[in-house]
Amino acid sequence: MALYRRRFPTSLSMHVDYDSDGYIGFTDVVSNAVLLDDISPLSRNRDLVEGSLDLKYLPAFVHEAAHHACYDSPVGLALASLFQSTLSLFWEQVGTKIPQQPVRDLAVGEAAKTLLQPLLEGLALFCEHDLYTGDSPVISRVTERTSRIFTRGPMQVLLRESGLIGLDGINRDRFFSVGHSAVLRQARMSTEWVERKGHLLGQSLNGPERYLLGYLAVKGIYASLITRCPDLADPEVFFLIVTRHFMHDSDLRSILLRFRKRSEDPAESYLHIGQDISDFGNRFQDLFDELFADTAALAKQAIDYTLRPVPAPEDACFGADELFLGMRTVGTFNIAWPRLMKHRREFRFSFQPVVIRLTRAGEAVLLDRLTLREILRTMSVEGCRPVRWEGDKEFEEFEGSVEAVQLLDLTTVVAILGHHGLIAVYDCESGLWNPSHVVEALDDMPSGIAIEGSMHAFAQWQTQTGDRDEVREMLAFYRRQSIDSVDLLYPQLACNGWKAPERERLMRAFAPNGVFSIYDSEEREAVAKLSLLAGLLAPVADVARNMQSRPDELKQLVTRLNGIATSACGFQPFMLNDAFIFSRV
Amino acid sequence: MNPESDTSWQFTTTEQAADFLVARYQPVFPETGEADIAALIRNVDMVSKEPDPAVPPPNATPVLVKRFRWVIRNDDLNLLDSVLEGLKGAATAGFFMAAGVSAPAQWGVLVGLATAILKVVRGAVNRGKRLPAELFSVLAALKSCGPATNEELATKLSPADSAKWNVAAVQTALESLKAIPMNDGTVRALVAQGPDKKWVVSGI
Repeated sequence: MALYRRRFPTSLSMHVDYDSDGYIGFTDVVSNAVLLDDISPLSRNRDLVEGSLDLKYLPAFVHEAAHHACYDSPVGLALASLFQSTLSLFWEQVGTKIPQQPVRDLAVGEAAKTLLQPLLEGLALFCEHDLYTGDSPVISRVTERTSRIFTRGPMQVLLRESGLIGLDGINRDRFFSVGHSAVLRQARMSTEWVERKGHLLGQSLNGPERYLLGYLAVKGIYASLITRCPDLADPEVFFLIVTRHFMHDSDLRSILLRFRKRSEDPAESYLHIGQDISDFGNRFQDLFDELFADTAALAKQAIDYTLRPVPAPEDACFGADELFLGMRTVGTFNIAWPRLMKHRREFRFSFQPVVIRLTRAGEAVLLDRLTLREILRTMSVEGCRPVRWEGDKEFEEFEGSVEAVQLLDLTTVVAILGHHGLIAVYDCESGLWNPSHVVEALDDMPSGIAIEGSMHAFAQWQTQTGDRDEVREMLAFYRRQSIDSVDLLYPQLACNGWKAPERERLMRAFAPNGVFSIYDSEEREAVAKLSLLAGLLAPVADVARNMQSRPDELKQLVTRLNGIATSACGFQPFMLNDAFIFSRV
Repeated sequence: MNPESDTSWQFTTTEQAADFLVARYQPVFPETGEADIAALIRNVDMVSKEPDPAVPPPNATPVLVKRFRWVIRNDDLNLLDSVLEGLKGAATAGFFMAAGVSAPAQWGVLVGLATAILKVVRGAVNRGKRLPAELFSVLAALKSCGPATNEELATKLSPADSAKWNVAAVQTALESLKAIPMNDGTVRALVAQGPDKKWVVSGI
C-alpha cells in the first residue's frame, strides 16, 4: 500500500494525482535531482562542515554522485529534454495517428536509456565498490563531492594523530589520494558493505536494470583498457574517460535531439524513428570501438578537459541542438511547473519530507510529516511569502522537504524547499540562515516532492502518447530490440575476446542469481569480501591480512573460487599473480 | 510512514520512527526531557526492520540496495502504553522515591523497569489483547519495595488513588500477573507468592 497520496499541478487548473511509496534512493534524469536516504542534515550539520559524515551513508552517496556526474553532461541534458517531449510537444500528435515528434522522442528516449543504463549503472557501481584515488593529477567530480562530505574529517584526524597539524611540508595531492583512498578502503570492509556487494553479485545477470551485467562490463572494460594505457592505473582517469567519451559525445547528443518536420506519410515517419534508433545504437557501439582503439589519446583528452580553465558563461554558444533541446522543455515553463532543469548541476543528497507552515510574520515552521511536531522554526526568505494574505488567515501550510545540497563550489547547505523553490536555507560553513548569495542561487530550486510529482506527470503523458495500438506495437518492438542489443553488447565487454557460445554459457550460468549462482553460501560471503578487498588491484599480502589469513591460504581460496567458476562457465572472478590480486567481479 | 495500516506504523528511516515514539510519549511524561524519552525508546527496542516493497517513481534510476522499512506494531505500542501508564501510576504513589531513589535517578529506574517488563512480556501476550495498566503498577510497586503481602501493597499504592487501590484490587492484579497468557497457549508467571504469603517479582 502506498504511503502517500499526492497531487502535482501541471497548470493553474490541471493536476496529476499519484500514489507515492515515499521511495528514497534514486536519481531523476530530467532534473538530475538525487533523492537519497534521509541523513537528518539539520542535526548533522557539524559533520557536514567537518567532512565527517557517518560512513554508512557513503555507498549510496557515491553511487548517486556518479549518476549525477554522468547526467550532468550534454547527452544527459538531451535525454532530459526527450523525457519532456510528450508534454511540451503534445500538440504535434493531436488529430493524427501518424507518429510525430512526441512519439519519436518517446521511442528514441526509451531505446537510448535502455542501451545506456547498464553502462551508467556499471559506472555508478564501479565508483561505489572500487573507485579510489591514484597518482594522476585529476580527480572525478564524484571524489570531489565524497571527500568534502565524508573523508575530509577522518583525514584531518589522521594528520593530527600523526603529529602533522597542517599540510605544510607534505605533498598535498599525494596525501589526499592516500588518505581518501584509505578511508574508502576501510569503509568497504564493513559488514554492511560486504552485504551490499553480495546483494549486487546475487543479482540476475538479465535482471530488469541489468545492474550486474553493467558492473561486470565496466570491470571488463577497465581490465582491458589498463593494459592499453598506464594512465588508467588511477581509476579516477578511467571514470573520467568513460564519462566524457560517452556522455559528452556530440554525435550521440545530436542524434537524440534530431527534430523531424511534421510528416503526413506513416512509412516515412516510422522509417525516421527506426533510423534514429539505429543511428544511436551504431554510434554507441562505435564509441566502444574508439575507446579501445584510442585509449591513450582519450585519456589525455579527458585529463586536459578536466584540468582546463572553466570557460566564462559568455563564451557559451548556441546552435541547432540547443534550439531543439529548448523546444522540448518549453512545456514546463508555464507558471505551475517548478524549475526542473535549472538546478541540474547542484547535488542534493538528503531528503526528508516535512509540512511547512509559513506565518504572516514570515516565519517558516517545519512540522514532522506524521506527528506534526515542530522540528524547526526560522525566518523564511522573502521571495517565498505570499504577495497578499486572504482575510484573517494567519498561516499557509504545504508539503515540502529538508534537503542537504552541495553547491557548485562544493560547499554544503541545508535547504528547506517548497514546490516552487526555497523557503529557507542554512549555510553549514558560515552557520548563517539565508545568506543572500545562497538565496539567490537556490531561490527557485523545487523540493524533491515536486520532482517526484513531475516524474509521475511526465510518465502519465508518456503513457497517453504511447497507449495507441500502432504506437504500442512499435514501442514494444524497439524495447525488445534494445534489450537484445544490451544482451549482445555488454557480455562482450565483460568478457573481451570471448566467442558467442562461451558468452552464452556465462549468461546462462549467471542468469538466476548472478555470480552467486555457482557458489554455496560460505563461498558467496568469501567472494563478496574478497572482491571488495582486491578491487582494482591490491597486494596479496594486504588482502590476506584483511581476510585474516596467510597469503598461501588466500591463494588456495582464490584458486578454489576460480576453479568453481571456470568449470561452471569458463569465467575467472579473480586474477592472481605472486604479488597482486584483481577482482573482475 | 503508513497511516493506513491497521496493524503497524511504518517509516522510511529509523530516525523517523524514533521521532514518532518520542512525540507520542513526551506528553505522558511532560516533565521529562526529550533526550530521556529518546533513551527510553532506544532501550525498549520496539522498532523492527522489515523488507520494503516500495517501487521508485517512473523513469527513476534507483540505487541498488536491499530496502527496508522501520515498523512499529500496534500491539507493541498498546503494550508500552499500558506499561508506562502503570509505571507512572506507581511513580505517582511515590514508589521509587520511597525506595530512596532521587528524582533524576527515578527516571532511570522507570526506564529500566519498563525495558525489563517489555522484554519479558512483549511478543508473549495474546495479540490484540491489551493488558490493564494496573497490572504494571502493581508489578512496579512489588519490584521496588521487595516482598510484600496484598495488604502491604494496597497500603503503599493507595496514595496514588485510594479508591482504586484496595486489597481486593491488588489481589486481582496479582492473580493476573501470576498467569499471563502467552502466544503459544501457555501462561507465564510474573509474580510468585511465598509460604509467608508475601509476593515477589518473578523473572524481571
